[in-house]
Amino acid sequence: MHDDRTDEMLMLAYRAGDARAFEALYGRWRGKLYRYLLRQCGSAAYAEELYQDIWLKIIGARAGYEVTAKFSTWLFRIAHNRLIDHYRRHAGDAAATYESGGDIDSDWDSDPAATLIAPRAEQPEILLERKALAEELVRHIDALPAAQRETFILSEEGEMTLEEIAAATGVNRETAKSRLRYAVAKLRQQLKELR
Amino acid sequence: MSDQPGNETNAALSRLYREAASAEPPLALDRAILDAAAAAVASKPARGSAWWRRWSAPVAAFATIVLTISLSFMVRYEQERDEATVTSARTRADNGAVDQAKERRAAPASAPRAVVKALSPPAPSPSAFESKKEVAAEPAPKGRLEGRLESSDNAPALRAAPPGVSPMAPKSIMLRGSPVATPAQSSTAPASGELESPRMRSREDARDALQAPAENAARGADAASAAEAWLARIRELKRQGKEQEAKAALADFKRAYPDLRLPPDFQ
Repeated sequence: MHDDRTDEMLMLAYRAGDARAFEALYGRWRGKLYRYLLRQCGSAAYAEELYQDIWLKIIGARAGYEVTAKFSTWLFRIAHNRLIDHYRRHAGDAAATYESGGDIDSDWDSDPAATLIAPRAEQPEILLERKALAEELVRHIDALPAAQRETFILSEEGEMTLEEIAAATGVNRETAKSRLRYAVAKLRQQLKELR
Repeated sequence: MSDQPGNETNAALSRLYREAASAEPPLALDRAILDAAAAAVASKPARGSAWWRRWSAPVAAFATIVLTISLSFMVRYEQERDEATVTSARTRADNGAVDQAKERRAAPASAPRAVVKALSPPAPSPSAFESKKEVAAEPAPKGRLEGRLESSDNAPALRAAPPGVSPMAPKSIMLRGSPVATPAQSSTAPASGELESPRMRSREDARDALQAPAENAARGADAASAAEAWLARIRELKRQGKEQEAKAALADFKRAYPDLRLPPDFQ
C-alpha cells in the first residue's frame, strides 16, 4: 500500500475519517516502533503490550491532532513516555538507570572508524560472518544503558535528527548528542574487539 | 546520524544494525489495531466531535447566562405584576367603599330633596336656580366642619333666602354634604354618619383635594352668579319695602361672602 502523502497528511486524513490513511501510516511505522520497544523492553510480551497501548493512544488522540511536530517525533514521544511508565512499574532499576542517563564510559576511542568492518565482496562465508556480527551488534545494543540505547534506536529506526530525538525524549540537544556519541563509540569498540 | 563525526563509519554500523533488525509485530496485533482504528472512525466523525468539544464550554456558559438573565427578568416581571394587581385591587376596593359610602350618604339626602322640591313653590327659572342654590348653600372656601356649624345655626340665612327658594333648600343641600344636619334629619342621617369611617372620609378628602382645582374654578363662577342673584333678591326686597327682611338678608349675605365687596347701593 503506497501513499505519497506525508505522515502528517495521513494523520490529518485519518482525523477526518479516512481509515485507509491510518493503514498507510501504520504500515510505515509498525516495524520501527515495534523494534524500538523490543530493544528497550527486552521482552516480546512487554513490547507487544506497549505497542498496542501506544497505537490505541494514537487512535484516541486523532480528534485533537494538530501538526505541531513531525509525526515520528510525536509517535516516539508517546512511546518514550509509555516506556518510562513501564520502567517505573516493572523495572525500578532500569528506570533509575535510564533517568541517570546511563553509565557513560570514558574510554572513548577518538578514531574507531578505522577499526570497523568494511564491506567486502559478497562471498558466502563473508555473509555468514556479517550475519553473526549483526546478531552480536544487537546483543551489544541490548546491553547499552537504556538512555543511550534509546537514542541510538531512535536514530536508526526513527531516522530522527538530534533535535527530534531531544524533543521525543524530553532532553536538550546536547544531552541527546552526548548519549548518541557514547552509544556509537561503545558499539564500535565492541565490534572492534570481535574482529 | 548525519551530524555525527565519522559518518561513513556510522553508516556502516547502521547497515549492520538493519541487517539484524528484522523483528516485526505479530499479524494478530496488526489486525487488532487496524480494527480499532476503523471502529473509531465508524463510531463518530472526529471533526464533529472536536467541534463540539471546542464549543461546548462557551455554549454552556452562554446558555447559563441567558437562562439566569431570563429568570431574573421573569421574577422581576412577576413581582411588578403582583404589585400592580394588589394596588389595582386595593384601589378598586377603596373606590367601591367610597362609592358605597357616597350612595349611603346620598340615599337619605335624596329623599328630603325630593320632598323639598315637591313642597317648594315653582321657581322663576328652575334649572338655573337649582344650580345656584347648591353653590350658594355650600360656600367653597370654608371647611367641612365650619360648614356644618354654619348649617346648624343658619336659620336667618335660610330665612333670608330669595323668595323663590324654599327655606328648606339649603338644608337639603347641607344634608347631602354633611351627615350632621338639622334635628329633622337626625332620624335618617345618623345611619350614614355611623357607617362612614374616618378612613373613608380621609380618602374622600384626598379625592376632593385632587379634584379641587377644577371644581374650585367652576365653583368660583357659580358663586359669583349666585351672589349676584342673592343681591338681586335683596334689592327686590328693598323695592318692595321689606327693609327688615332686606337687612337680615344682607347680613346673611355678608356672613356668607365676607370678602366680597358690596355694590355701591348696598354701602
